[in-house]
Amino acid sequence: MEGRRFHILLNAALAVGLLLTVMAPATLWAADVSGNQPNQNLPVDEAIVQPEVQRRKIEKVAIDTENLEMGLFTGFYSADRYGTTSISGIRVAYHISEDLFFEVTGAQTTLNGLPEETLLQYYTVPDADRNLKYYNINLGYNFLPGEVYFNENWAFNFAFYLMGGVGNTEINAEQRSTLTTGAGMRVLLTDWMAFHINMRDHILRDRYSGIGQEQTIHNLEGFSSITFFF
Amino acid sequence: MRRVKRQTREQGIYSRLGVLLLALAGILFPFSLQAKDLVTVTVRDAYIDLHTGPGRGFPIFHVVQRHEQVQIVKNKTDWFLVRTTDRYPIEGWVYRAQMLRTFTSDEVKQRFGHLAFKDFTERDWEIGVFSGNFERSTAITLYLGYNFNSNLNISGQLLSTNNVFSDYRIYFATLESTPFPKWRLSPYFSLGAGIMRTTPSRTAVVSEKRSDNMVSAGFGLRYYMTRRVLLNTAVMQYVTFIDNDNTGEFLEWKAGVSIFY
Repeated sequence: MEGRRFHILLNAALAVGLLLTVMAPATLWAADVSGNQPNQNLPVDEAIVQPEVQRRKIEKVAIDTENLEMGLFTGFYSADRYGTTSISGIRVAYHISEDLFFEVTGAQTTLNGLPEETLLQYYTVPDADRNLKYYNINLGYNFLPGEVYFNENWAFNFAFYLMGGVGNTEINAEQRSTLTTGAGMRVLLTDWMAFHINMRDHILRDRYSGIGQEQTIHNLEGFSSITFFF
Repeated sequence: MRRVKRQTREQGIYSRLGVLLLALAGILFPFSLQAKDLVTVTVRDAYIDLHTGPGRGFPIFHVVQRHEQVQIVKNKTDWFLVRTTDRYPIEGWVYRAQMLRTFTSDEVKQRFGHLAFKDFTERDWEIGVFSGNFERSTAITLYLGYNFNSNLNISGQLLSTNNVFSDYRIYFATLESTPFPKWRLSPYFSLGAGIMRTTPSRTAVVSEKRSDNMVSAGFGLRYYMTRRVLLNTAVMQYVTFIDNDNTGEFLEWKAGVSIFY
């Protein structure tokens, strides 16, 4: 035989031999432990080994999964040069793991006019269009999860999270692609209810109703919200 | 003289949506509080740890030993809220890995494992968002897809982009073919058709809205990341039919994430 084949055969024989050597005392020990005599004479019609083994069923039983979070938020929105107005909207979040979640938010507010409009007495935007609407989708990371303590009797599940995402802002009936970054704090008042405080920065390019050069502006937003887990 | 504000159709859509959502939440919420038959499992490990909250930072305050039973109240991401079956029940959160070694009975084992690659290849629905470069402007696409089988997918997409001259909204449906669905990084080809709505900017010379038919073709890659998340990247070519002699062509590169079920 070739050297390599012989080598493999030798290794196989060695392995089988080792296995038998290890197994033999183990079977004797098992027989002793179970209390049976190793050489008990069994009736012929009673088999030692049952060949039909019941297959274990693996089921997915319905367990209430609460990874979806929905709620309303309200706060202020500071639109660059238009001034600050109050804003309210909805947020829906889906928690992928204890660290990551997706969030979709949408909100709207009515903008004040530009300062120049009053000074120069012209109106470029009809009142019906004078509003700001945005929607965005963000990825959030629970940066600092933990427990917070109100006093010696109350402890709450808490997380400080960072968020980033993309979205769309409509200012005076014109769409603007937006980049969002933000941070927030979430306190779980109960298992199914949470309270948030957030700050967010909307980064977009605006032309101020078509009368100026396009600039990158940062619209800051601060809001708080109550959300529910489903 | 006071300028009267007219309520347009679009105004107040978010507040109306918010009220609807709140009403829906109010209707659905009592269902989640109903006393359901909770699943009871037996601990087979030496013990399982109960944490005070659903996170790795929360302390362990109780331990349930082997052969004792617990009821599973609910699940949040990787954590399960369990309740002991003592006279005075104790509730705590158990990590998924420890729940893997519990059994409802001798014959039935619970499926507590993480979502695996197999769930990705057998997915039905996908919902996701793309961010891309549409002719040098940023575009955001929302999409909802349904997989007929492992090779074919039909999806409805909404693309929103804008430039100095106008805002564009494309509503279209695509048919995607995945030749190698069992690959973790699997390519796909897509063909689509839809409508492109152009709204010119307020100060543009031509200021009438238009709606054109459009077709699309593209090639993309799907990558299964983890759990329910997959990454998706694609390049798409759109052709719009403006009139009998003119067509517009747009190229888009995009990347995004989606969740699948």
